[in-house]
Amino acid sequence: MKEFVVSAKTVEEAVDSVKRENGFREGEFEYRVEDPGSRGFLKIGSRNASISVIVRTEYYVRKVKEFIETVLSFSKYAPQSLAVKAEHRDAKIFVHLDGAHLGRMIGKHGKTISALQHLATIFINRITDTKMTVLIDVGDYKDRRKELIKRIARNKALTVIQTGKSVQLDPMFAFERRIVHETIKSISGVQSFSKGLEPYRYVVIEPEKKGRRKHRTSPKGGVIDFEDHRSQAG
Amino acid sequence: MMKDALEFIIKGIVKHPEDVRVSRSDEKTPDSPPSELYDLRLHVEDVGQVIGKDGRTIKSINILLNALAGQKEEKFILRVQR
Repeated sequence: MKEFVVSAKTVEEAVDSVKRENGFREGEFEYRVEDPGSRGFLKIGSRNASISVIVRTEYYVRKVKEFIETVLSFSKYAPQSLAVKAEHRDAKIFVHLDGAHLGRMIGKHGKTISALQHLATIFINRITDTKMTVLIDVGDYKDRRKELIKRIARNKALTVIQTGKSVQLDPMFAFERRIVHETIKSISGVQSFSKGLEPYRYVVIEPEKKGRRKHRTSPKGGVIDFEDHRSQAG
Repeated sequence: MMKDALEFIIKGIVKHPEDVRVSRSDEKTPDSPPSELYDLRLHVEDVGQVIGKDGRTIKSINILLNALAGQKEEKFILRVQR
């Protein structure tokens, strides 16, 4: 968490100026008195008070929420019933959007949520020293998408087992590929790895080879094969 | 107004928000219907941040802008200058 020192004539003045300058609300920061200060005697030996201020995650959570609410308020179809819920765990801030007409905020394959999430993460890392991640979900989109990906992975695995040939999936986001790998790991007879360069990186499911480590991932940004060139140009 | 949205988003992610200037350009784009062209003037230090690795950030801004404007296809062109 961010920590900084503020001095003023008295501890109360220091606390007030911190609140005023940063717009902190109750419970969004803590402070420790480093030096209570001294008035001295007839101005001789007078000393300023100083406090160490620690910004709490609650402040960042509110900031992220306000950022997202403002961005969405520019929408042509400004959602009237938008509910933005935000909470945090470790260095992650979870934002949950709910309301009518939010479908367009998801975008094709979650493209728009990803964009908003990326920008909100940059926004929060501008105002904090510690690295934080913002994760956004709209309705139950991510849960449904996760189930869909698991189902695709299981179906493709079955095809691989039946035909003995490997299968390529469509390009996916990193978190989606992870779901595929996890699903494939639990199925015997198949193994998976990722191939290609972002944002066209995709998963290949193949028959399990004996004597090989079950889960392997090709190095990121490794060899570009012909296909990647083609998809990047397209 | 999409210009305000653009300005708000960019000011939120740069080190020098006071140096951000967003303007709509009259220049015609070859695509039809013509895209809306915006010029972004930024502090030198912020150019990289706004574009992002592999253009990811500027692309995210564009995607978001289109969603806010309710467009199906991308209709904005963002030109970054220092």
